[in-house]
Amino acid sequence: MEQKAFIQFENVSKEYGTGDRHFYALKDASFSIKQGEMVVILGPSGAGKSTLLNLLGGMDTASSGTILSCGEDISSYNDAKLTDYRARNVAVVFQFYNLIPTLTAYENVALMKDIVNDTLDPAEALKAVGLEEHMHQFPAQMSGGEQQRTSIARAIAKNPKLLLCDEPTGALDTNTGRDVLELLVRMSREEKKTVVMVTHNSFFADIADKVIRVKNGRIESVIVNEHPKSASEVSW
Amino acid sequence: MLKRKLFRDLWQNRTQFLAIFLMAFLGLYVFAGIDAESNGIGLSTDYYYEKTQLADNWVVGVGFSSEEQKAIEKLEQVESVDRRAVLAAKAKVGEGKELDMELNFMESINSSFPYWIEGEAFKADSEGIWLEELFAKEWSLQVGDYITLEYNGREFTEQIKGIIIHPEYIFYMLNSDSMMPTYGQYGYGFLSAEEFPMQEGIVYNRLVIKQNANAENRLSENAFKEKIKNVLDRDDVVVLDRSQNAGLEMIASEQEQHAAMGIMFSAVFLLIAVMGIVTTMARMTSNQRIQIGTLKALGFSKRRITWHYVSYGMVISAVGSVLGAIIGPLTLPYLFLPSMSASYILPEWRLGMSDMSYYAIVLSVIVSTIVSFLSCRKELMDMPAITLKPAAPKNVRHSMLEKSKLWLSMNFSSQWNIRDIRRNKARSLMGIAGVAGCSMLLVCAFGMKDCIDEFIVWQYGGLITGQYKLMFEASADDLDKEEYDQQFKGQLVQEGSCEFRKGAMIKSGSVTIIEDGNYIHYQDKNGDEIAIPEYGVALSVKMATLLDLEVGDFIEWHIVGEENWEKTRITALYRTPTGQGITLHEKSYEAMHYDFSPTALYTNMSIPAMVKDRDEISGVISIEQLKTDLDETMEMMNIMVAILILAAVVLGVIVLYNMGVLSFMEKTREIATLKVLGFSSRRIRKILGQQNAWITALGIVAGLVLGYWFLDLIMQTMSEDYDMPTVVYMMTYVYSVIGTWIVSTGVNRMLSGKVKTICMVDALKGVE
Ligand SMILES: Nc1ncnc2c1ncn2[C@@H]1O[C@H](COP(=O)(O)OP(=O)(O)O)[C@@H](O)[C@H]1O
Ligand SMILES: [Mg+2]
Repeated sequence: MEQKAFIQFENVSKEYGTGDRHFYALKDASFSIKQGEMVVILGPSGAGKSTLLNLLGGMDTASSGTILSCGEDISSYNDAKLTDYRARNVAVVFQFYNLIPTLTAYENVALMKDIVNDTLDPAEALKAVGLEEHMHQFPAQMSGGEQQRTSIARAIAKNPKLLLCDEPTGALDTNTGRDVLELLVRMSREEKKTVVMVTHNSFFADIADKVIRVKNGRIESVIVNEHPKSASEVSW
Repeated sequence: MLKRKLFRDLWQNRTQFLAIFLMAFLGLYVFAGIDAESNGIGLSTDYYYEKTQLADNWVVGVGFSSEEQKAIEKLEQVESVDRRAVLAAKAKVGEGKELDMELNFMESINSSFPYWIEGEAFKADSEGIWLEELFAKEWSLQVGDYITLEYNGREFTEQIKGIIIHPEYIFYMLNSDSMMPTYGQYGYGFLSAEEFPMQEGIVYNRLVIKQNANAENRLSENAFKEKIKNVLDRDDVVVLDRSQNAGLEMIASEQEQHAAMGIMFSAVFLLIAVMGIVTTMARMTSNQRIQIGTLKALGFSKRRITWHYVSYGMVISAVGSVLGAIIGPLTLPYLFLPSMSASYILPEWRLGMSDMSYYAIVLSVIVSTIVSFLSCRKELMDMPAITLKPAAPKNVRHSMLEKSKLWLSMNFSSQWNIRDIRRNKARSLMGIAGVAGCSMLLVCAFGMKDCIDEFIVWQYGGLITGQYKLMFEASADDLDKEEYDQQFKGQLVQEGSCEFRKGAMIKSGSVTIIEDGNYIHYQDKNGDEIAIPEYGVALSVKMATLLDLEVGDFIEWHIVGEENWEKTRITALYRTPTGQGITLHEKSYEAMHYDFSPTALYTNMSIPAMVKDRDEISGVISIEQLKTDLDETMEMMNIMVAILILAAVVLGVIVLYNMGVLSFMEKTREIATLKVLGFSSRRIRKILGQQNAWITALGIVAGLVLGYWFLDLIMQTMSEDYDMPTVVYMMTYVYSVIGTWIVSTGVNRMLSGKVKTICMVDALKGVE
């Protein structure tokens, strides 16, 4: 299992529209990711990065092609099976945090108990991201960075096999962004989680084990980084 | 944790959910409250009938022999038959006062027992009289006292052995001209037949029958009545069942009427609740679109998320409905009780919901749940990747109006409001429905009074123009009556009960025979005066509808107490609010070889006070007095009117406030933008007020139409005897429009204060 590909995309396409307005958001994408790898998906805005990540997270379905993830062929899954796949394997960190505004930070994290059995303790998860002070605040009472850290705590608490991040630092300033990034790298290195992170910021390429470049819906290149840097070393 | 989200969301949208809650609450409050009351009437009467073993049938005729009684008693379907003489007598009370008293002389008693209040239990072979309670109370008569009675010119005195009430007299009036009973001013009593003052001459004019509930061959009501008639083999009798006893029928139809009103009103409230759920849930799920996507991305199943959103509507309507169903029966019936117990004499008034209320709760919750589901289904069906993005704006096509020249000539305010209404059809519809409901209820409230006024004007201004009605004793000589006619220049009339037959259907009603004169008038369907033809019979419109007969058809009829069934051509139809039946001209009646034997005289000449003490005269009625009495007894109506007005205001305020808050929240960004552009708060308030005015105007127009229709429906549910005019005076419409307008602008005032509170910076800060 270790040596086999943990994630495998084979000729995956995503089409939108019909007739004249028909186009590919993603075309014939093929690549693989090993377990425990830290992968960065790079590309300009509109390239199809989010599309790729959504397919991987089982949040969307491909028009054609095969997606294997965590040993499952999720491209053949129906809605209910995809939901189950998400619940068991995936945690997502979004650009705009997407916390439930009517729940406190603690409650947002504790929400995971409703879907997964073996969650980490919410307080522990929040402590891990340095938010023990702000546990009982509502999202609206926190800064962007704190909100994003809560959202990461939510992901940690779920203890997923696969952590997906869509522009996690996109809405944050440089320093806060660096903190968040460090947190994610730590997740990958210390917890041995597979982390797939989407960004349009090419400086992030240096910290990844593998960099997948996307342009106009196509995979441009897949580069393996032999000596990834730490988050504090990258310059913005 | 989702549960916490549920409660916090409810709290954040508390105005909307409070409105839904209140509507669900009011719906069930009214439904269960009225159900408890109307079903309670059923429970109370069942108890009463059971306890007194109320008879099933009464045979009314001139006289019955004991052979006839035995012959009926032999029938296997019959358990018991008692002979009874029911006679109109006078009771002397107070200082020289003579009041009407119906006396029941019992040969035996096996069913229809008096309900004991005080004194001894009734026995058919005991001395003394058992007197009705309210009469005894009014005149401070106690058990052991003596009362002087007069029948047929013969005075006799009886000791009061007991105070009772009797189920056959649940509702009773001695003359059919009044509309409401004035208990205490007349009464009834039960005695042994042995107490009859003229022992040689007792004539039993009634057979009281209890059917055998355990008979092997039970017959249908009509077949049973037919059988009784066959056994008696005479045509001058009428066999009545419980539904033909005026009192029993009145209270039964009153019960139905209340139930029908309960259903109608709760339907209005529940409809509004449902619309509230549609708008609130649709708005909430579309606002929480991204949250829904997030929950999906986190791995919550569609079923869980759906359930979460559906529970909002379910929880609210369930809590509202159950609370309503608990509080309704505890409070609402007490509004009705005073006037009900003034009209109907029952030993006790019970309250109790029927199963209908439980079904209504379940129905209300199910409908709310389904509606919640339908209104948020859209957001729940998409893939999370789609739901995570803000919704693409709808492809709003430009309407015909927006393409026309007219559009360009409109000011900004109108354009903005038209677009806003088009974009929020559900919300606007809810607003219109709320306003319409409000003005509809107001029209009903005031219209009810109009109908009664119209009834009085019609009955005692149009149809009866005499000022006095002189009532003759049954024993009075026809020649004497002629003399009164001459003396007072009046119009003689004979009034009686009648049966109508068509196929297997038999209906009872009234028969009136009139001589020429100017005090009793008839009108056709359109309200035009008509003369009663001197041949054939004239039939009342309502009875014609019930029997499905028209002018030119033959009607089979039969005066109670006469041998023959007549078959006569219908020569006219007339409309009358009370006493449905037939009217004949004296000439037509006599052509059938009957004697015209008047029972009353209408006149405009004032009648000397001593006249009413004469032997031939049983009483003098002043129409003026009758009208005043009627006004005073309309309290029941006033309560209904007050309830309706209150309901109208509550409905209007809740719906309009809810709609206002909704539209306000949706428009916060737009309003903030307008402010940034430099619109003053006042200007913005005016724009919002304009939309409110449009909605209100549309709602009022709909409400006036619906109100008339609803009122008509209420009038139709009145008993078969009545043919009430549905009339709404102009002033009622004016009051309703003004009332609704006040409610609407009042709510708008409350809301428009919020415009100032919108902070531009906050509102435009950003989505999510
Ligand atoms: N639901 C959709 N319908 C049509 N086109 C879409 C939809 N979602 C994304 N696209 C298009 O697909 C392309 C890729 O989008 P996306 O993956 O979000 O880009 P990015 O790399 O910036 O994350 C874009 O051109 C976008 O316009
Ligand atoms: Mg993207």
